[in-house]
Amino acid sequence: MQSEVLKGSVDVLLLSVLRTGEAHGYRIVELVREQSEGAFDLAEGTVYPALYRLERAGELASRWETVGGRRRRVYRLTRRGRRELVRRRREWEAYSRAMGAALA
Amino acid sequence: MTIDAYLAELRRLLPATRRGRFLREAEDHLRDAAQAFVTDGLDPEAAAARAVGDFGSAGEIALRLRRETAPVAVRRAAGVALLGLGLLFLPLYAVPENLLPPAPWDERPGYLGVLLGVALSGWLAALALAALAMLVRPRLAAPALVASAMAGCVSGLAGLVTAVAWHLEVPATPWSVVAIGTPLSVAAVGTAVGSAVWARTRVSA
Repeated sequence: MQSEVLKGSVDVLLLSVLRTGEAHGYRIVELVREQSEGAFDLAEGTVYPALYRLERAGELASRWETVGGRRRRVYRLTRRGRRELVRRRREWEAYSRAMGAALA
Repeated sequence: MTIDAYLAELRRLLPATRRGRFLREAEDHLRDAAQAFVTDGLDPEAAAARAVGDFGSAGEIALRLRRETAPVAVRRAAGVALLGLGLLFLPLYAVPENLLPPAPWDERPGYLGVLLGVALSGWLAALALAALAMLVRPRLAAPALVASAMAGCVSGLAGLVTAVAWHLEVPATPWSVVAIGTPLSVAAVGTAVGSAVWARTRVSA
């Protein structure tokens, strides 16, 4: 996927993969890759600035968790994040329909 | 590149405010990724190199983090500037109010009034601009902080000149007004200037 297209969609992708539960950074990247069937192959380190931005906006929350003796930062969707996901998904669906119709 | 060398490069490039947390998360991520590549059959050295490659350029990541954290950083700088400029209350009001002898004149010399007016209005402008910088976007906040620091400099300088002029007009004025007021003014204005320079650096990074 072209980076220009990806740039505008990273936030909604991150919110979307967290809708089913908490995950840490590496798992989030894996989920994006799996759920997009490899179409969205993010530069992995750039996910973190986006996660921090979403956290500051109140759409994500995070906490340290110790698993197998290792501390990890896990992220989860907040109520505001869920509302934002619904809104952005509607926008994407409308955009996708419009592009599909225009290119048909 | 090894994971440790990559983390060292990140440490060098990252803004201090996010360094600790991000480096911990990055290390976790890289070790998980390298382990997954080893499980897929790569040797450990190649797995680490692949994990680092997939993570992305350290310079690009540091740049993005700087952009993401700029609003918080600039707001903090504005808060520090506001607190620093608040210190000017001491040399501009509290110190002279408590240390100056009663004025010997019925009507204050006009130029002293002008100097006092410049000092006080400069101080109020500096405070207002620093407060404004806390509310607006970083791109506007940085110039507001620079203007605030300049107004603080004018105020501090006018206050100092006023103190010296007062001493010349009223020989009984103790030098402690200048001796106490000067370091306080320098500290206040220095804090404002430092905050403005730092905010500009963060915004232009």
